[in-house]
Amino acid sequence: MSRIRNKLQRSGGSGTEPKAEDVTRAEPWSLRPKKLGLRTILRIGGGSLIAAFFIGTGDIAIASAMGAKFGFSLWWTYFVLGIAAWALIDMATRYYLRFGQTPMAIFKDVHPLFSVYMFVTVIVCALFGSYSQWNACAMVITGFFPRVPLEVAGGVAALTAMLFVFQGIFKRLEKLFVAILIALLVCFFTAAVLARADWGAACAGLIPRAPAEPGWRGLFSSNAGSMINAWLILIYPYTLIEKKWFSHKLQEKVNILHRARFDYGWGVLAAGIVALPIMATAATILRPFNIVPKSPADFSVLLEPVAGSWASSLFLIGLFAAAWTSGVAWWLGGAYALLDIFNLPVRMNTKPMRWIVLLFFVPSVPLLMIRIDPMYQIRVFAAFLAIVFPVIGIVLLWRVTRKDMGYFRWSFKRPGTVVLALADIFAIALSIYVGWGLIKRVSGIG
Amino acid sequence: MRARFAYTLREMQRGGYIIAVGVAIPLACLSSAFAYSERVELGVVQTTVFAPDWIWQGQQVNVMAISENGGDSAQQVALSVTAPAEDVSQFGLPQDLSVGKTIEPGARQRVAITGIVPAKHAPLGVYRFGITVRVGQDERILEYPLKVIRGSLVEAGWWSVWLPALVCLVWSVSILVALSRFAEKGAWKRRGEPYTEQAAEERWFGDRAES
Repeated sequence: MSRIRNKLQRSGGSGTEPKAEDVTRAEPWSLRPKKLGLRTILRIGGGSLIAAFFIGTGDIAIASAMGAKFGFSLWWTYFVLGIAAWALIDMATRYYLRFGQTPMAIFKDVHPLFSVYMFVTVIVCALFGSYSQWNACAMVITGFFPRVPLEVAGGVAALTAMLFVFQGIFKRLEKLFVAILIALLVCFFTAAVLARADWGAACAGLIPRAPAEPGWRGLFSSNAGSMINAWLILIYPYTLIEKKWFSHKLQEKVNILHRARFDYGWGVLAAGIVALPIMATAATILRPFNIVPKSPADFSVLLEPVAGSWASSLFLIGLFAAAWTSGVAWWLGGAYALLDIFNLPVRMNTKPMRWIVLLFFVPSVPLLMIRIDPMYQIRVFAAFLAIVFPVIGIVLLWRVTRKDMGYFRWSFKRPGTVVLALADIFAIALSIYVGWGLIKRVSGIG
Repeated sequence: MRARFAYTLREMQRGGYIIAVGVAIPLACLSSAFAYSERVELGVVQTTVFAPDWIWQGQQVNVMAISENGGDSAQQVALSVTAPAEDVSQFGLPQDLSVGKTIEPGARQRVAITGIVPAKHAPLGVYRFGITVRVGQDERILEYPLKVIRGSLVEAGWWSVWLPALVCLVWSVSILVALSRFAEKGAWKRRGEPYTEQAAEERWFGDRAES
């Protein structure tokens, strides 16, 4: 009898509708999710927010530095790091679907002092991360309109972002982000095509190997910080809360997880895809002269003679779009996390959310006055982030391996679940490796 | 009308139009970004010089030229940059401020001079450089006005992380005060109520649920 029930459950049939308590009793990962149609797979709403985190000034700065120094030979890092990022997002999503609890509850479960750690980290990272984006937006605006002071340009970019978030309509946010994601892909790829990039060489960049030239480890660390940053890991469950994607039925939980995995899978993949034309452009126009881009001006000036003023403008518009959406995502991720820490409703249309965003906006302009080169700064900052995420990763791993995860706990009975557990371990091991390497470099050990 | 949270490419059309207009307007109306560009024709060789028209203190200027040989014999093209004599000390300059290449008939070649860096404390203003393009015995000197604007307040390196981080840390007090007004006492120590509110339908399957 139980065999028949298991069979029915595995086929996703409704003959034995699992009850809420099945989450604890059911054999881990024994249910099959409903099949997704192609249209559903291609829907990238939630993934666009994840993509916005990945594709900001950091992604562009790192991809362009990689392209300028190593051609395509580090393209594989986006996908290797992407696996780790995917696994970490998956852990947070599994926890939410199991308990309906927010990501910060994980940290409070370990020790309330983690709330203090997370509070400070969230504010510093959200402000800092977004500031780099406004700075890049400002550079682009002043590139087109040299008479506009940088601080004014950055302030305007931040102000429009604030007003947009103030609307409090999550649906609109997703819609806009998908449109911008498509637009920036078009911009970057067109710029790269106009620059006559060597696409054939790009395929070779998918094979993981260390370049012969020195200096790639630093870029790898920065990329790890950019790809696997703290809020990226945590934000996805907040988008599920906004959309009310939750169910008490085990079968539906499994279905949601299946759908969600495609969602953030798209987001992760988008980072690698966007990196390609940027690397291609940098490899084509900068590498021959050993120029490592330090500002958008480097790209603009050097792209124009090769690919024309259209390519140059398209590249800068793409950079602006990437930076602006990433700035919004940094604010939003930070604000969600702060609401969560204080047990306030995780909703975009609430008063505390607007207060937080306003308080994120206020220091944006004074910070712009420091005038740190955004492309340089984000590389350093991304490396700095690499120190933060092992802590978050270890806590996540501790949480998802506990027995009370029920149906969503680790299991080694099937090849698929072994792969999942291995992906979790890989993500944590990678984060520790990168974090430790960076601490050694900063402190001068070894 | 029911809210939906997943969009296909077709559904993005309206948003796509807005973005397309946003991209098209700057492309149609704006001139080159950041760029000083001059075109020179010397004999059968056309050369266009590109360079930034403004730069931060302490940031590198890259001058690039692209030459096209329209003749039927190879041509020797040279590009050189001359710093303003009275302000040479305000710039870090590469050892060699000239570069040359032979261009085959019908070919296009790029040359670049990099490593011109205004000092971190160089006075702000416009500096008049000279760019010389030479093809064989013919040469043309172009005036290249470069505006130097204020650069970073801090040195590159870890200070460019620590200073903004410090500002953020100080600012966190204001966020703490603001959020304390809304939150229950001690909320930061305990986890909140689970979010178990469900969408009315299986929205995560999009069109299938709606059909």
